Amino acid sequence: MNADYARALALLVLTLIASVFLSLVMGSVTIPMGSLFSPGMKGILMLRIGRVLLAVSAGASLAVVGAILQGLLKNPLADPYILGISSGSGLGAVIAIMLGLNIPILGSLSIPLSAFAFGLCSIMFVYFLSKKGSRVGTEDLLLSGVIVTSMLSGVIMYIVSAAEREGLHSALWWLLGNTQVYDPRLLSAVLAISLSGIIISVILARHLNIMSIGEEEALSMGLDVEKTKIFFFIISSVMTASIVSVCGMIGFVGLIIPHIARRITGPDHRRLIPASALCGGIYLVLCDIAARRLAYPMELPIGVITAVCGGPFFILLLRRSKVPD
Amino acid sequence: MNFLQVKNIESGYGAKAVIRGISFESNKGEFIGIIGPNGSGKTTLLKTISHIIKPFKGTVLLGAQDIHAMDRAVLARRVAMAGRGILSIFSFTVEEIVLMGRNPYIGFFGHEKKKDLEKVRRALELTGLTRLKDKLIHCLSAGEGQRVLIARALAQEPELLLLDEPTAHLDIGYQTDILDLIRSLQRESGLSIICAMHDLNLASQYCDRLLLIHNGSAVDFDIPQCILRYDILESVFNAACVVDNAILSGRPIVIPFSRCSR
Repeated sequence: MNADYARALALLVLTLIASVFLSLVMGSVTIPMGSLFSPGMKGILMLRIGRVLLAVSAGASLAVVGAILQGLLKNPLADPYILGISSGSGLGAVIAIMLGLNIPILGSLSIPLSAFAFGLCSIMFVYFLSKKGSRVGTEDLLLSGVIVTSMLSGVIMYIVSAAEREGLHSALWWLLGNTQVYDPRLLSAVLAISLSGIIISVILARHLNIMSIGEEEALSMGLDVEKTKIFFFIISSVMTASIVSVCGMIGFVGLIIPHIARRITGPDHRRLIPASALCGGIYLVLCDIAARRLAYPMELPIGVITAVCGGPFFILLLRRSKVPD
Repeated sequence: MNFLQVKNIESGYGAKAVIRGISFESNKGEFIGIIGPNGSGKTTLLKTISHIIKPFKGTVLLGAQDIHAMDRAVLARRVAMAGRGILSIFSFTVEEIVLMGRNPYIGFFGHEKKKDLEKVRRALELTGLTRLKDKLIHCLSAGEGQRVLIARALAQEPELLLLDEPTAHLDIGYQTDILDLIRSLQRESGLSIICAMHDLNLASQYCDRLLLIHNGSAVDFDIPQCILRYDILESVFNAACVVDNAILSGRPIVIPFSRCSR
């Protein structure tokens, strides 16, 4: 590990900690740091802690999956949603919301579980669509992902357009993404999945370097290409599905954060993945503060903030450095 | 027993065979050139020997072992391939690319050790890239890029090095530079070389034996003096040429000849 990288990583960790504290203080109402930890504020504090933890893990997971898929698919435009998970989960959630699905034992978990199941089903469908014999071509994956996404999006559009007012609002709110925690079990599940997903990705990151050079080259260097693809495919699917089913579709993070992180660390995925995780966490926590504060007393959907703030920032970044990255 | 035996290979992509019935054998430490017209199957043959693709028929034996039945990582420690160029959307540094060659020595969940970095340092040194190790691959010249591919292959510590047109798009200085590097590796480390080449004169100067292929089949496999004959070249390449002998090496040199009258 060289000094530059260590310094950058330390700086990112400090920034993340600072933004987390900022988020605890600046909710919809500002509570000074001194009184935040007083006994009377315990309820609010717990809510805010839950929320900021969800924002950190969602941002980190989406950014890491974006970095994984950009390397694996050798495509700088890849993001966590490109293989059809988001539209699958979206359909699952929208159906659950519209049907007022409330499975007795699951209770409030019905919607996220339905989204999770639909998301995994759609990505499995994409996987088997692109499988030819024992091989899964990355171009076929991209193509079938895009096709399945647009098909399912069509179905979602239809259901939403045919919905009653009340259902329409909750469906739209879900589709635009949010970081509200309404169940500690969901939060702990998401935290566990994100953390283990990120750790496994860091351990296997070396293979992404080799895969990003090309599959034939990877084969000649003795890498089991199909096994590697399946590993990363499963990691990214489970991570994305868990985030989407709890937070809805928070767009843009998974696309731009890896590019920003790559400017800090270079393309080596062993450094890129930790940096992406930290940058993604910071970005989403800051966006979450903006979502609560900008249109107070209303809360804006965080997916709107990530896209509206991220777009111009990204363009600025691309324009500033004309050197090829 | 021969070091490498290619026996009656039929291979290609999808269901389409590109090469048919190719057989040859190579001794340890030999420099073999594969020559033939564009699209004759040189690259396909190299990909089959390195198990990037599986042949439809036939076997490739390394010692007594069937290459296509070997574990990939085990094979990659014995056979390395340097392809035509680095096609990456990301700009890795030279050192990062060469380190990838250590992959077959590192377990699936493992990471590189001090020994691996030492081997990378050695591969960079052998290919004269030490000075460029932190340079981005997108900023290299074609000749330097080819050296990086060779360095990465050397990091695999192979017994057999496969090269696919390592001198394509290079000027005469870089051509001899790269081929001298390969020859010195062959002579000093006993590395066996199989190299697909377009330039017949370079093939003649550097290779111990040449495999001439045409339309996916082997025409002949012999020393350059027996392969580079005007009648053979004329029928395979459909080009008029004169073959002479180089003064210094005594190897044949091929001079193209215009069919238009002056």
